[in-house]
Amino acid sequence: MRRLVLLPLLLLVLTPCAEADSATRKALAALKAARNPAQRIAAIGKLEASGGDQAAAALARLVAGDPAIEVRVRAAHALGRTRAESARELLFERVVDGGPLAVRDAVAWALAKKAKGARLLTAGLEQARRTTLERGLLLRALGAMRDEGTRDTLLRWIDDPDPYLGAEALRGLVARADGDGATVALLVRLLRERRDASGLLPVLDAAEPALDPALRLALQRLTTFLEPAVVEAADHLLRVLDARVVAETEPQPAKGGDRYGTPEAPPPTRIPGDVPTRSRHDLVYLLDVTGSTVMTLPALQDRIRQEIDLLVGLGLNLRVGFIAYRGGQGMQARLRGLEVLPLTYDPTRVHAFVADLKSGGVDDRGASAALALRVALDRMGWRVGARRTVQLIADGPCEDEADAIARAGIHYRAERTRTKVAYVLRTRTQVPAELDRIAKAGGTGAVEVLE
Amino acid sequence: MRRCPLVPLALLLVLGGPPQADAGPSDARAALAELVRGVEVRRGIQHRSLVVVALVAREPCDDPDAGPACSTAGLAWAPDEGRVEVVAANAAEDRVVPTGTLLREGPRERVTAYPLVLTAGAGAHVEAIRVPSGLDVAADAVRTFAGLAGPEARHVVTIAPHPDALGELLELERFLAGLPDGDVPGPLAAIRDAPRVTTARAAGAKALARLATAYGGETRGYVAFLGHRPVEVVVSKAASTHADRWRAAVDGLATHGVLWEELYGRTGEPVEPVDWTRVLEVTARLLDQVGKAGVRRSPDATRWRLRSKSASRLGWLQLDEDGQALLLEAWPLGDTGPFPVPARGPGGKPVDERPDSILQGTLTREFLERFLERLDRIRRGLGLR
Repeated sequence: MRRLVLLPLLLLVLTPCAEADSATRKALAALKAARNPAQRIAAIGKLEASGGDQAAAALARLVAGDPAIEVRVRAAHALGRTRAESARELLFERVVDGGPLAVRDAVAWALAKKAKGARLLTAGLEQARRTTLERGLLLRALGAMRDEGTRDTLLRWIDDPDPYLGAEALRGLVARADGDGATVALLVRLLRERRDASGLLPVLDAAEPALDPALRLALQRLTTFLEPAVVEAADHLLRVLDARVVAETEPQPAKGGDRYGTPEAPPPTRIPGDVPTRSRHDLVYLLDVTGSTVMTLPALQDRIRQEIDLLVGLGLNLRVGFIAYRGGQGMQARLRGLEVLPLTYDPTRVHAFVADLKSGGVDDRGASAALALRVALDRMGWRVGARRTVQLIADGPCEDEADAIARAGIHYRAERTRTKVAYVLRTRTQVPAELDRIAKAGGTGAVEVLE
Repeated sequence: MRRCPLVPLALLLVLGGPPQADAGPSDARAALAELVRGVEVRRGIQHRSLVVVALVAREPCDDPDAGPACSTAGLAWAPDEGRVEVVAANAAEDRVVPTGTLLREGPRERVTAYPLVLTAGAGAHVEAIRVPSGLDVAADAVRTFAGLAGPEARHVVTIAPHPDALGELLELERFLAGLPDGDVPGPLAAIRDAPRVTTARAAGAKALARLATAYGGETRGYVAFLGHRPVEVVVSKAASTHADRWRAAVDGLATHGVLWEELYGRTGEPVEPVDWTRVLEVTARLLDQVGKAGVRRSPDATRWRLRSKSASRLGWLQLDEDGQALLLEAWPLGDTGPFPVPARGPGGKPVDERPDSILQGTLTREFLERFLERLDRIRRGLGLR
């Protein structure tokens, strides 16, 4: 008798779950059957509505690997809205894995929707196992959340001894502040306190969106420095400031004319195009340093040094990063084999990094070119509005052609982040064919042959 | 890589600090260490062969009561006879007088042989060398030409302080400046204003002028490199003093840049941009060594060996009697200097050839005589003279 009473109650509880499972199955089936981005986006709506952990996992997979950027972004948004318990953790993993810039922003937006999402990121920053690039991604996500509660965290990280993390925190903080008084005061303080070019350039770079007349004095002081990079950056901001002020205060041409009836010549009118622009360049080198490069490495080091000096000499707003890759058995060993220099404004840091590189390590399973490409494209702190380039200098075939092509392809198609490929023609007489395909997917055409 | 020559480097370091007539060497070392700790090495300016590194205050300090280095008042002195003389110098205010400062009294010019600290009203005796000049100079020329008896003059005065050394050097400089021979060499101003020097010097002075108030007016000193060697280190206690000094010194440094290029036959040749990373590294190491200077006396009572684990022969530090200033002779560390080394030194001697005497360097009296003869022969051969 008691069983008869409990059964309807049990059915009452289980029915929504069963319905949800059924909806998830249908949504997953629809996703599997989808042949184009539009159909996948339609399936995303169904997965979001189903709200289960299985659906959330499917959405996370789309965020990570769909070939269409719009699908990735929609999937991230859906993860933010879904009721699935696991969505928060899945989004956190996506933050740490990075991706194209639009995806990073979408994931941050989605995580902000979750209760304690910002707290998860803040806790992640403190985890000892996190790499610098992962911490950079976490800071960027905190910045993109535009949540007032994250401001203190970002402020703490601005003075981090690692200039890369300090720059990421500052960029996040300034980009969302819309020139509020506190941010301008912070910029003035940093411009006065920081002494060397490597400390000042990130501030000058980050200050452009929040440019305010209150910065003028600090900028004028920087024009007395003797480091050309600092002077050029400060001078550029002053010119932008002047142009904006003129545009705001310029009087309109008076109606009528002078006493002879000659129509007054209109004063020079500044249009938005008059605001000076200074192109930004982010360049990341990927260099094979497996044991087989022992004979060619010194020449490549020289070449890279010369290239960087040339670019610096041109007075560009330039940041350079570096990944030296080797081989290894298993993903962890391969990851450990990477030597990473995050994007930096300081060419002397790059020179020191390049000078310290040593050939070594096996590549019987192929050197980790695809893994290096993935880390560079997905995790480096690329700047929006910069000309972004990855320069792969390979000494052998690529260990995961499909992954490398897919990654180079989506970053180029979606955001014009280019992948250039150079091949050191040493013992082989021909360039591996997959390198050509990676270069084409990366938007740069043929492989450059280095002999 | 080619080894750098063991060419002695004459570094002059002017100390600020409270005037203490009885201050011992250890006090001087402490003051020196403090002064060096107070500045950091920053990128400076390159003008052809002349490279100047900026020394910028770690903490802004522009206290007018900061001590003798803040004073820029002129000097008065009472001349004695003789070519190397001890003269009584007086100053209206406390100040540091660098080596090579031009003293002017009546028709004669003199150059201080060693740096000294002068206390207001008290005066001091300073060893000075008479510049062979029979002409007067304008009253305001002291500051203008203070730096003109520049690196080479200071080098000769301190490395080879024989009575005729400065005169020979000036003769050489007159020759390089394209001035006619004369039994009595003219004043230093004549070298500065020689047609061969004027234009290039003005360009150099203009290019270097920014160092006076660089880094938001926090620059407090400089290290000047001429060619492939550092030649002068000057640190002032206050930024305003540096600005005044620099305006006075820049003309002299620029002039010596011109003469140096003429000496090495590099006038008009394109000059490679300097590797600033390397220059800043070398400068930082030199300052670091200066800051640790002197723990034991060498056989020569006036010399103090620099403490260095890796380079026992980095150089010698010389304190003046009051222990308030020093002169440093040093050699580049490591296999490479910050600049490309000219293939040939003055007079055609390979620059990587060890000098006959380390303490005397290359600018000995005999060398200068040989060099003048050689240059004269070449120029006569080319129909230039």
